[in-house]
Amino acid sequence: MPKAESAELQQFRSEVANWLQENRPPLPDFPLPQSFTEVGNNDQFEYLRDWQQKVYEAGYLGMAWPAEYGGGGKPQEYQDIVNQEMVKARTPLMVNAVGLSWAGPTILTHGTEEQKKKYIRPILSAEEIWCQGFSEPDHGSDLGNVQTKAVKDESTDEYVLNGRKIWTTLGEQAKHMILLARTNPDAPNKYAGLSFFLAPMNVDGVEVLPIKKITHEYGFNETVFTNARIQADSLMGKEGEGWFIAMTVLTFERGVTGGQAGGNLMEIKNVNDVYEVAKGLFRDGRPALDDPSLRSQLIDLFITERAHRLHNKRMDHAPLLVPERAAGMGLFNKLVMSEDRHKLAEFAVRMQGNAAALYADDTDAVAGGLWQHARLAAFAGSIGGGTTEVQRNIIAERVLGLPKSR
Amino acid sequence: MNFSEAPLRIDCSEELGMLTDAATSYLRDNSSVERARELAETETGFDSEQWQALAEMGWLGLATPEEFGGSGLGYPELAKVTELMGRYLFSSPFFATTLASQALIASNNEDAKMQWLPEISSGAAIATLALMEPHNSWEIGDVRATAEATATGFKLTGEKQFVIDGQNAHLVIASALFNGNPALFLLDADHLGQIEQRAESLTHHARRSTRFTLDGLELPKSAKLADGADAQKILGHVSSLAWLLLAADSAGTANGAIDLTAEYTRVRKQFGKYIGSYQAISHPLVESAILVEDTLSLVYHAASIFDGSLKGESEIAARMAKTRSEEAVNLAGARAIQSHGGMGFTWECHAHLYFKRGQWNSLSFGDAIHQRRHLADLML
Ligand SMILES: Cc1cc2nc3c(=O)[nH]c(=O)nc-3n(C[C@H](O)[C@H](O)[C@H](O)COP(=O)(O)OP(=O)(O)OC[C@H]3O[C@@H](n4cnc5c(N)ncnc54)[C@H](O)[C@@H]3O)c2cc1C
Repeated sequence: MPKAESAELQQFRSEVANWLQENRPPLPDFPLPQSFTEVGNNDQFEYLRDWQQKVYEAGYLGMAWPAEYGGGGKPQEYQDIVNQEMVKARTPLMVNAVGLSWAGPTILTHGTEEQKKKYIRPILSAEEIWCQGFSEPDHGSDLGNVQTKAVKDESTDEYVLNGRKIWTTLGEQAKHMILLARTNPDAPNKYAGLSFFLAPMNVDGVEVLPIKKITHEYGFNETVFTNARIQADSLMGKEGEGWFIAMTVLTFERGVTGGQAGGNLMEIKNVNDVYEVAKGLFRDGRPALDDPSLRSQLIDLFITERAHRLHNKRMDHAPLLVPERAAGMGLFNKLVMSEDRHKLAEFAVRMQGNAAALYADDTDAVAGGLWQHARLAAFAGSIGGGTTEVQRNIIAERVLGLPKSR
Repeated sequence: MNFSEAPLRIDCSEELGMLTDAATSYLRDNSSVERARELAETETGFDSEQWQALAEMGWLGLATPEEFGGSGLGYPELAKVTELMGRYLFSSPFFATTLASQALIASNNEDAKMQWLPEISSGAAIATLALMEPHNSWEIGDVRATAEATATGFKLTGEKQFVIDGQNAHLVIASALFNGNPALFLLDADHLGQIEQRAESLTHHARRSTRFTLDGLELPKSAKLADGADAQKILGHVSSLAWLLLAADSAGTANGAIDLTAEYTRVRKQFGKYIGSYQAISHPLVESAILVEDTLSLVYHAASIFDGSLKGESEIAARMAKTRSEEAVNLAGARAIQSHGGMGFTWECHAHLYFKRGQWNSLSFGDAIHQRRHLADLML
């Protein structure tokens, strides 16, 4: 039988729900991003940063992180409840996503006492925004091949950075970057030459150049390092441990393991949202939902959504898992979630008929053009954080035991 | 109703954990692919010693109340055993017999329960349902056969098709219209002796089913299991359980196909590389695994909330599982054949066994097109 929630947790749940209702910020007069990767201007950023700060101050973020670094020191169940209630209440998202979900847990795992003391609290309070400097113009999926150089200057106890990182989400707002750079070009293999840095962004020689996205918005950047000098203690772990630490980051980023601070990182639209829109639509002079083909497609979306909502519940029960795949179930998350978003948005656009041609800023657009935007934004999920193709490679190799594709 | 936020649950009892271990080892040890192939060539399609073994393990009355000689377990347990039977291509009248005993259990006919359920649980009686007819309809209760009252009982007319394990059965529960509504009749060995069953030739050659005419068959009054609302209830119960169990079997069958394919792609080389390193081979296999995981989540949810009723969550959940299972097993089965190349096209290669079992499961009791149409009417 499913574990019933204790009276204490139930009480907590209703406290959270009430707090969210009473404290959620009023809707702004500009559109809010649906994901942290879509923060395109300062108004959006400040609105979301203030909200995260408020949530943290209320004690609802990082609840399961150690209290000595600014966390709540409580069991994970509490944060899970907050996360669920946030999704349910559809409160605005947590903007410091890179800090909360990958830099933070990685620092807690591999960082020194000093690093934890210095970085964790401002991550939670959104005072210090983080970005991720992994991808480069020439090396994305092949992350192990990145070439940005970090050369130690023993005389000043600094590292000197040269190279280019790209697709840096929140790069303009960020105070720090988790940076993967090459300290030893002569290492025995491409991985062994990499090191991991907690690098400051506001130093000379770091230039952040915004890039316009297919959605017509900004939100990611190219970060150029030209003789940028950072203190030697920005290094996390030892020289040569960069790849190992980067892999930890990716398991957090892809939701393979828990340990993230919590909060909602994107506004999750569900199939029922699309259904509600569909009910008001006409195609070819008839209600869209009279069309057997659309009905059938919508049902498939409901089935997929339900299956994926159920996975977490089934994961609690070993006898209901396929033994050979049980350990690797977490590796499916990223792939499945990003592909689900594609399918949902694609249907939501297709069902509109010709009206689907109107984009988000047209006053006649169905549902404010939200789905036209979502249809494009869905690619952020299937490209960012490791592409769908790369995720399939990983599952093929690690879960199904197939030979390496490279 | 907001289906995106409907509360969902999956239950797993302690017994289910033990049963999973026991069933995995029994089926792995007793149902090799070679054994499944041998049985497919026999007339009955199953091994009667194994049938007795299932009875001894309590599987033939797995979800039958203990007062009728059953094990008194639930639908998740039934689904698990069925899933593993699919995984190991186990052939037996288990599915047919389980559905027939569930028809009895869902009825109010205590005499019939007392007479048949203990015999079924003990392995003495194999039972099945005769619901399908040549007019090719999966709609529940779309029956054309009729039963007319006579002085001593009933006289039947009409045709039955896809009577699963009809040739092996000691009891056939057949549907026929009585006073204009579907009713269910118990055909025992005596009655079955009076009709001539033709064994059907199926694409899934390991399965057994029959076609026969009911014309002229006379039954005593006691042969009526249920009519009116009772019969409707039973038909809903067995149909929705069939969706659930077929989905479970398909999930297992698809897993068998995935394992077979994965194994081959680890050893077969072309162009100097293992074929599993080609993404055109590996990625569809990943997609198959994803669809199987979907199916399993839907199956165990459906089993956890199953109550045999129509029009509510139980029906929706079972139909969803059936729908997704078809996609899973169709892809996994097809990829198994294709990924073996020319070898995959041979009778000797095991791939087609999984493909055909999956196809049979998909077609029985309503395919995905049928299920989605019903789901749309239930949900939209
Ligand atoms: C919205 C968004 C936000 C991002 N934010 C960040 C960020 O903050 N920090 C950061 O460091 N990066 C970020 N990224 C970058 C992202 O991680 C990379 O884009 C991604 O890893 C792919 O690398 P690439 O762009 O170089 O594409 P490539 O690696 O060049 O891939 C091109 C195509 O080839 C395919 N391909 C590549 N290798 C294989 C293979 N082995 N097998 C099969 N197919 C293959 C890919 O799937 C893709 O379809 C972001 C990307 C997006 C879209």
